[in-house]
Amino acid sequence: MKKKSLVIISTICALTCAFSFAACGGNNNDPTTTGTLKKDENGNVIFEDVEFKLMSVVSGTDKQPFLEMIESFNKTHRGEINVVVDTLYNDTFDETVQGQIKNRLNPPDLIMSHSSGHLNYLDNKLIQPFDEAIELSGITIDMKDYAQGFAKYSDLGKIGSLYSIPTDAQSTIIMYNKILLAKYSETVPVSRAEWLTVSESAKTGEGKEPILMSTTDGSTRDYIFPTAYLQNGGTMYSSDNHAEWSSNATNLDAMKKAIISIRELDTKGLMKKGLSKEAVSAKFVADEALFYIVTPWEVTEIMTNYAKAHGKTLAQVKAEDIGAMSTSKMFAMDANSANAEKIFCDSHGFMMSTTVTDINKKAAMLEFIKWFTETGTVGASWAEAGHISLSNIINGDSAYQQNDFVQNYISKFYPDINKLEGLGNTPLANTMTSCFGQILTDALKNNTDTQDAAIIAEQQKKYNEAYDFSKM
Amino acid sequence: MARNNEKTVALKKSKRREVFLALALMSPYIITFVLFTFIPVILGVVFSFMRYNPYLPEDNVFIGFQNYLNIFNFDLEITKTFWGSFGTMFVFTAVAVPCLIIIPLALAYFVNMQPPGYKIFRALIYLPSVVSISIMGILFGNMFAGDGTGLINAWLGTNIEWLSGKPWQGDTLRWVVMLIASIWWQTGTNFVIFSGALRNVPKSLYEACEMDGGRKWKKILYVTLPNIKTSVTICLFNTLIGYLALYGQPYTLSDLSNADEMVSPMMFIQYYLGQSAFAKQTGFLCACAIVFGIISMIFGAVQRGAMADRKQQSKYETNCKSYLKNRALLYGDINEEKAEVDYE
Repeated sequence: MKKKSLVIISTICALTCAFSFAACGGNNNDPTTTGTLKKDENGNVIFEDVEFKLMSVVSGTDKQPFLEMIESFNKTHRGEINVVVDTLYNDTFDETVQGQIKNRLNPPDLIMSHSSGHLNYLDNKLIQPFDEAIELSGITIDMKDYAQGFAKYSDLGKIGSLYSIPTDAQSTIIMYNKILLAKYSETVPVSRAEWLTVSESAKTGEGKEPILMSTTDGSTRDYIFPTAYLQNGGTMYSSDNHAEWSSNATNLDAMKKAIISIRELDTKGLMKKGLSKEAVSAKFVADEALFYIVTPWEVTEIMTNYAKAHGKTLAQVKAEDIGAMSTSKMFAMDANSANAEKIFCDSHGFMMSTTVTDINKKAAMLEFIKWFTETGTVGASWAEAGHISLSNIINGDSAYQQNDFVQNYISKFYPDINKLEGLGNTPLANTMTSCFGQILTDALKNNTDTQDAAIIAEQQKKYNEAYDFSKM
Repeated sequence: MARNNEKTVALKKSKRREVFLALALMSPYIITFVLFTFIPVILGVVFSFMRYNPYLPEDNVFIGFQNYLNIFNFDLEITKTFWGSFGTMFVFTAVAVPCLIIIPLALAYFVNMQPPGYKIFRALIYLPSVVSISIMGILFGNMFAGDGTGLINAWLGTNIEWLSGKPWQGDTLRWVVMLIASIWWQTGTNFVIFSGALRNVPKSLYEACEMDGGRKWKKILYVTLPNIKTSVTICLFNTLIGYLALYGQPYTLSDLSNADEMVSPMMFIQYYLGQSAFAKQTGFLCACAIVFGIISMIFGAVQRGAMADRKQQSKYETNCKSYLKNRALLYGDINEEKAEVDYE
């Protein structure tokens, strides 16, 4: 019996070892292209019942409008192209999709996810460039037509290739109480100086909270501090992908100014730190505050709560009570700096899985991407769901410009899409976001700047350590 | 002869049936164990000797002990982080494990005395063990939140940052909260085991102790503790191993200032294994897991060795045996030689 058990255990061990060693070498995943394209006399591709699977990270309140947009595409392309959509939450998105592609288990053909994570797909050879499909199909997608802050990263570091097509972005905005603001200013502030002056007046005038921002909420923190850093002239990382926040004099200066630009709000008594998201939201809804720094996807909820609390309709609240303005220039210590208008954004983008080989499918995906990123009405619908288009074509389209939501909100939140910046091509987007957030959290614990340099140096070390480990 | 053969065959058949039945009953566990524990452990060991990236099989190579050498190469920052993750975890384990033995034991002892309403107490003590660690984290996270929404702060009228701080830098309060949460959450499990063990201590031993003039403390020291030693060993082993694999408490009881601080080896391994950016380091992380596993095993072995039954009988068990032996000899029930064997 003992002998038998030993034999069974040894067999399992041997098989497991053999299986794991079989994982070494071979298995080249280089994508290929199969099939031929049918074209009409003008050289346009003729699609005949081409279907592809799109996996999207859009899974919140914006999911329904997204699905409706896809449905409208499918309707207009009936018999030609059919897009099958599946969505997943961000927390598990990359891990799941990468596993699906790697194991060839129901992999998506087209992936729509946060651009900051795209480099990892390329590093692990899970995506292929769009260039060949563009060349063969003649369906052009030119990165000159997209916001430069994001288009410049579309090659994911492989110069001359197109791996990641940016679609839309989002960042923090500043909501304001229209009635309170009217008491202290005739216009909406457009610079930091104006913003602070109005806030000072509100503080001394009625004793209201001038500015609300939850310093205990990660999402607000993760957008606002990189925005402040960019507006003060900082760069995210060096050409070799290492962080130089502390070791580079310009970056260190930008970091220190970014911290001061937020700490100053507290030391001047304009903003209370340590408040939770729920607490600041409740204060704003109760007319106890003038400005509220918030993520755009919370706007509708806050307005709805405000309407309920004051017995008004949503339309009335939008028209009479709550407005919104941009964070552009609000954290720049030098208002005349060329960087002062920059806003840090997170963006969505499209990628093509290595599992796709059929040229008809590849061309159909290009047709869909072109529709999604270059059609004015589509851009307007997507803007209403809280996403600003990164396409200059959409931004220049009259249907988009005349949209009510775009006119009243989007264009006020983000005046110039070419001033928007993302994390770019770092393989460690999560680590970088976490390090940035940590700098602000740690720095705000002190009322002076004595510890700032050490805090920045610690986080630079942490990021570079993680980067070196990823490349070890 | 033929009948004998038939009997042997029938016996063999019956034994085979028994073995088959045993295997069939155990098979759900065996299959799960082999698939989800045994094979992954073997794979982990093999990968720890490789530069292994699950996404790029063509890049995977056997590199011998290089990953293990890196774990002990203190010029590498990642090595310092890995070993650093043991620090606070060891201190917490050293404090939490004794608490999680002494408190459930004390509670079990008092409940075993069956005071009025002891059944309600028993249920109340066990109840927290039913909830998951996430629920425990949400409950205590809300109670000890540092901002205005924290119940404890609201109650005390303070604004204490209970869950903030980094390892060895002002995070004592956070560990205290984790300790309180752990005691609340895990006392029930050990309490049930101790309650069962306490009920099985023979009453005759207490009586013998009383006859010898032993009072409450002596009864605990010379009767209760020696007789529940096996249960204490089991609880101590399970709790120790559980706390060496500390993960849930620091993960759920954190705030923005320490959410990404790796205060235990499990957090270190999970943090890096969970990101595709570090896929290339799977081999190194497997080696870290193996080293951590070995360290846990050493701790477990030391604990088992220290608690091993050295065939020392309790004073009252020895006295009882001696009394019975003398009585049997006095009444001539057995001879000297047999008495030595029977009452050894």
